[in-house]
Amino acid sequence: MEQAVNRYVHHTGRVTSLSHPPATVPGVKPSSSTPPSPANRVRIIALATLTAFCCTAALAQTPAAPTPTPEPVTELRFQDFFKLPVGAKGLEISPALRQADGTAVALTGYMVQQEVPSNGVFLLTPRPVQMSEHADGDADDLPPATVLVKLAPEQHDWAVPHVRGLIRITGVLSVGREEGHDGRVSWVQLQLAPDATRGMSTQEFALYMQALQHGH
Amino acid sequence: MARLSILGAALLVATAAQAAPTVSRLTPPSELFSSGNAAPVIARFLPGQRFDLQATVRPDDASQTITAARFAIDGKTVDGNVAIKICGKDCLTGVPANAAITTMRAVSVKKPGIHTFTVTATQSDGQTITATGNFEVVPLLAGGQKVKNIIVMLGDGMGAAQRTAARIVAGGYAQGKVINPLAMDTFPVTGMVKTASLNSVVTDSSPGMTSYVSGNKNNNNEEGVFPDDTTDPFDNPRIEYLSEYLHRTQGKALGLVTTADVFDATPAGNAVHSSNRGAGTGIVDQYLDDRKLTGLTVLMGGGRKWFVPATVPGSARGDKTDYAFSATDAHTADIVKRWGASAGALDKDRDLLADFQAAGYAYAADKTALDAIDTKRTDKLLGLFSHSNMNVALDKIDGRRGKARGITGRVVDDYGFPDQPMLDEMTTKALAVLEHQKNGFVLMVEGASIDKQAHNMDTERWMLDTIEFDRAIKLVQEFAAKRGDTLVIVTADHECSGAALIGGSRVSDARLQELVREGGSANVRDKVVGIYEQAGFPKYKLGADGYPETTDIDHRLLVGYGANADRYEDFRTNDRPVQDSQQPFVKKEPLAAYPANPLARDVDGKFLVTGQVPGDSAVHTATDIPLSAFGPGAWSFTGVQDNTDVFFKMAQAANGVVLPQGLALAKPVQRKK
Repeated sequence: MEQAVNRYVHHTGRVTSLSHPPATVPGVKPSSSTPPSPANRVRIIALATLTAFCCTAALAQTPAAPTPTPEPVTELRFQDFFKLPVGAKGLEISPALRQADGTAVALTGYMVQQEVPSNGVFLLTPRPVQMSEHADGDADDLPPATVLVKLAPEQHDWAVPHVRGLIRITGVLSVGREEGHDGRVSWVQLQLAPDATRGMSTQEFALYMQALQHGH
Repeated sequence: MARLSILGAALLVATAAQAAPTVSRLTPPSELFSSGNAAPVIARFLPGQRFDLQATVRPDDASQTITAARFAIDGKTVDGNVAIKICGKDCLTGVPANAAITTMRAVSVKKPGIHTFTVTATQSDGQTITATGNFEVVPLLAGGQKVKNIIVMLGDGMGAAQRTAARIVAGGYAQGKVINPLAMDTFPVTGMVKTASLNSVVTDSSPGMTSYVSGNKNNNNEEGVFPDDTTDPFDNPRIEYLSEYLHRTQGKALGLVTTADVFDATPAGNAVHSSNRGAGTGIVDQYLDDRKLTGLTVLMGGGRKWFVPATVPGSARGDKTDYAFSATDAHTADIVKRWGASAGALDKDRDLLADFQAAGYAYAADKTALDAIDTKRTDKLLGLFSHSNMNVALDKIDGRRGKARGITGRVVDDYGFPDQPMLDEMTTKALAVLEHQKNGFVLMVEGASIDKQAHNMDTERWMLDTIEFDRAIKLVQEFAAKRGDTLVIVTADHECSGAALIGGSRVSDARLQELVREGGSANVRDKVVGIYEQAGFPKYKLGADGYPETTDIDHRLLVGYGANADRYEDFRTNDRPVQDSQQPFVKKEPLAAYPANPLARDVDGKFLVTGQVPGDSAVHTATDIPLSAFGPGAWSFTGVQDNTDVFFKMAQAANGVVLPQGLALAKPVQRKK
């Protein structure tokens, strides 16, 4: 779990002063004034350093809602991915999905609830699915139209905590076979831009750390 | 010689004057090797049941290597090739590169009793090392009737609470008496099973299955093999399965029916040997490649994604999860030579579905096709009804009733497989095909998603899966009762989630929905949960199809979870997701983080039940599970038994039914007229 612990989604668009605890980071309103534990402070600072290092271009900007992707975005629906119902053999990619390959699309779906959040990726499905990957592995309840969503390359080892309910995300679609390091194969991937993720408030981060503390 | 810990070995090496090679692992596992105690005996085999001998030998110095090894049983050297594999980069972290894996494949012993076995290895400087272990050969007794067919009904994760819940929902109660018993409740013999694995009191589905069908404990995540020190998941020391043993010695066939992806641990743990239950490509390939060892003739379930070439969209096939044994390196070449197994190949582009069909298997992709199978002319059957796991009973039944709980319509439509069979329909077809087998068969039928939905703490879905499972049991019982030559056992690999039937709802469903809208534990728990006599007898109305018309009844059965993760509970059937495309509240902003204050009233009105386990899923428990038996040989299954005991009882029944010791017949009594 160390990888997930050392990075978290934190991007405020502002320089984080290293000498101040994050409770005073401008633009972030923590709902409690309890400073994070020393360990967490180290992690926040460590990431703030990384943020400062990586995101120099963003530092001069005022914190605001991230700008939406400027180019036209196709609204894609999961039910349009493959020919439904599925035939006697494998899946057949629909013309709509083929056309969307390589373009900016918006998808509305549910983040798959996994036992342990993966770093830099999550799965998106048309209906909520919970996975017990420790118990079941690849024998899963995922529908065929499942998208592997990837955070921006510079966020590849960041953990995205599970978000409940429908989310709408925008990114560049790619259609084709891709094998993960664990051997799991995906056929539809969505590449997010860095601004698809935003920072956590101090309390959100503290709660997230608390939840991870007892992780596998 | 007792095994030395790595530290001990290092210490030994440090005192250079006394350096010697060491044996760090000896297989089959034994307490004699691990701790020096002759009891309990860990590994047990039938007379003639095949297994591998293996030892990991570590030279005492980086410059040394292991040059020779031999195995002996009861002091007598075992004839045959000993493969020596020098680790290099192929072993687990912490195992030195010059360690040697020495293996003798497919040995067997006929003589009953406890046997000691030794490995003697020679190092390049001439030093030798010997290590000793033991195993037991359990005798087969001459008995009465030989059981022709053995059917194992495996309710994954199905403990006593799951059975009771299904009974309450499907059977109903009147003033404390059950109205319609579950089929499994009518089996005459019930025992308890201890479910521990080789490395934990809490098992998983891999050793949970293989203990029953190999007579031996395996590590969690491993099936049909003992642990080893290599990273290759297919080269582990094997243990012959019941299916393989009975196919080889009696010509029996094997049938596997499941609602899970067919590569999953429970079906695979009857036919495939792997230390990685997730190595899907190799597992499904071996179903076909090694059918002459297992006698596999019927295979049904989900998991079509493994059977189409990697070039076809949706395929999950990949080289990382595939198997290929060497033609030259004896370490794996001997698996082919001595077990008669296939060598395999890294062939992710293989059209496995077409290969099954070419091998004579009739193929059904959905219920319509399954119904069309002429079982009089079919002796081999493959059914692949979904991409991975099949949809659960509640969703399949909703599909048949035209109930739109999904996004596009019915849940089965969302998944793209609108015509999936129920487990009892699959079982009927399996029996009709298998009953042609003149030497009989071993059939395993799994209600797979009892466990999967219990992990999700989705009460209604596992309850209905248990009902679906019982409907399949009823059919099997009728089959066995008609024939009189079939042994049926209903069991579970382990319990899942610590399900507890805590009571009944004190309110109607309409009132429950109001309370959910108000939210929080004060409303959803305190005003709802009826304990003790407040629970009464929840009454579910069954439809003509045998399943509840609705699970959202007034005064429903309430289930808690002892092995739960944090969850939000509202006691209602997880229907249409709380926020869906009909509702405007779709999060459009950049991804949110962890909810700010989970203890507050949740937007969907549920109350937080804090879990005892980390993560998001409920987990397996170590609790014993009930086993029920029917048919000739059923009497053996009473009492509290180890899961490995079940294997020997089934094998005995196939050899001739014996009445177990301690189950004495009553002495005849003289009665005065």
